[in-house]
Amino acid sequence: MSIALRLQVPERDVDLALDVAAGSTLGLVGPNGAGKSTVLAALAGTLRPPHARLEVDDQVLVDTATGRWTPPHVRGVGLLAQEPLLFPHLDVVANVAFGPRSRGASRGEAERIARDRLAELGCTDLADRRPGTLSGGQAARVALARALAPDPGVLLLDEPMAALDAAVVPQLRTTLAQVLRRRRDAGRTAVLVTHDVLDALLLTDTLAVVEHGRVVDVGPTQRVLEQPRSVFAAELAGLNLLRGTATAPGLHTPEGLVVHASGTTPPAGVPAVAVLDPAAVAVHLEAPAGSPRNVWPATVTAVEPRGRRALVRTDVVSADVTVDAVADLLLEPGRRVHLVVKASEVQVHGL
Amino acid sequence: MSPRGAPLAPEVPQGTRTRRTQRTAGDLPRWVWLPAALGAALVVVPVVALLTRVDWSDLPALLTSESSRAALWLSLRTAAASTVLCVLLGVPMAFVLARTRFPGQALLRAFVLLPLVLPPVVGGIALLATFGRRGLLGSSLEVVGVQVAFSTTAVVLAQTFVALPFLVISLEGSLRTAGHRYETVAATLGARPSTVLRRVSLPLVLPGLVSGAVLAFARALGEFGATITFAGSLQGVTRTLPLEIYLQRETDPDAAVALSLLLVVVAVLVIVLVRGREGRS
Repeated sequence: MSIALRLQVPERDVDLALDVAAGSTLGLVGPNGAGKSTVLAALAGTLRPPHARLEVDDQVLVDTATGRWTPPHVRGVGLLAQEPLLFPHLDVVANVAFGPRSRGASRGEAERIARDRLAELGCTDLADRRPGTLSGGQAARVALARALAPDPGVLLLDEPMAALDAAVVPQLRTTLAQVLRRRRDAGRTAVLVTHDVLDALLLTDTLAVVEHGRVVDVGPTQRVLEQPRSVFAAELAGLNLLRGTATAPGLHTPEGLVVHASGTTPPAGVPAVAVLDPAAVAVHLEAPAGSPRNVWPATVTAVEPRGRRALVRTDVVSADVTVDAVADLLLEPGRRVHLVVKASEVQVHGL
Repeated sequence: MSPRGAPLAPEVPQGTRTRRTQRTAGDLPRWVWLPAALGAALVVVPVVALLTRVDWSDLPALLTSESSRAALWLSLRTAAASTVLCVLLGVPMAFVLARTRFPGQALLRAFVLLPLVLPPVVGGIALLATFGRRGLLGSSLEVVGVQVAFSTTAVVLAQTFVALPFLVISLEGSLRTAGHRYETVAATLGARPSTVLRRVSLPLVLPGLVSGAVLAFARALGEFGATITFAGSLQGVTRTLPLEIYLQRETDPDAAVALSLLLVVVAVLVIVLVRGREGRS
């Protein structure tokens, strides 16, 4: 199922367009309040936007210009939220059978589908339990089985693993990847909202970065994360990003920073971003002499220990250094340092 | 009730028993206990006094006299009928109030709650103005040979009028607490609005609905003012238990006390039932 969405919700400052190819999974990332949930609500039909047009497989489901509106229950758009929201008064099988039953399957047929879905997700032994007796991970699996049971053409996943114990997340992620692959082969489409770079890399084909209700970057997931054009995507991928204007050596930032890059660079004068790995940033107390390298004076703003290494945040870019270096150089917020980066470690992309 | 019985023990012995952490007694000035105890006494003492007046040896005979049985049977029938009517009308009302928005909704809610604060006798007069022989609808009904006032139907209408808000308020509260997220999920699973209502919304608020229905039943059972105004007091037709008690008080006080005891027992049962449910959920 291909999706074409054009959405305007002025009171939430959302104005964007999204296209999803049939059989692919679109990831939506962005800061809280950027409008990701609004997009899902508009797709599911739980929000009636003032201006919107939604096509699924060339069929117009919503068009506010003509007054066309398709209510949620006939859209064939499933939703898996952060919380499992299993119906507490129904046992697990009845929960999973709810969708097929609502779409007209007989009692026996619906229960057969429910047990099949539960078996696929390794939940056969939970079939007769009440939702209240399930662990968080079990409830999440049952909720996934329930969302899959009506075989929705489009499946919306709203941070399905955010509320779970870290211990059960990897397994569920694997399950989700298998499920999405199976659905992909059947031409089914999915939209996943996430804050996790692993989710993005393992589960999505396309990634859209949403900020302030606008799509600021969209493309193949790998490209969006490796050559980020937005600060948010860079953060997500653990990379540094500097915005500015392309120049002969690389990039000029509005703050007056000159960034030297090697390799292909966009033509001078166009808006561009420089991307560099924090591990490629060295921290010195004195500016080293000579060599065609980037040397930027900076002030440390935070030091975040990560095992044997630490991320040193500054007012320019972040550096990934050993904890020994942090101790030797007495790195702490307010400390003035010089950041040194080889030009070959910097990539500049035009926007 | 005496302050000595209060859980304010100043010296807590360091026993081995685990104690629940409590807020310290310093939060509340001690004098508050006096009016609080007086208030409790105002409710408890009359009920105890009633018990002292019960003629226990004659109780079975008093409760099974013909007029008592007729009144009890009529009360149970009419209260049950108005409870059913409250559920049939009140459930949709609660859903409309809790799940939709429309102009004038606040006004409608205020009107629905009116019978709670209105003196029942005023309700009875209002019902007479509607269904009486010359009433707004009564005159038309009279033409087709239907007379509502002073019939058992009038008793049911009067009881429904005063009991309906109890069910609506109770259920609307439950609906708001339950929220609509389960209903959203059900819709995305392909359930039509009617299916969502039947298979998700109603089962989720069933405890609230039962509490509301029990409260409505109790209110209907005790209804007096609107009934006597709108339905009169005809034995076996409109004379419910409260009316019977009021009449017996003149002629046979012992019978009045015996029947009162019956209503007290019912009231206690209702409270236990409702509070028991609330405690569990």
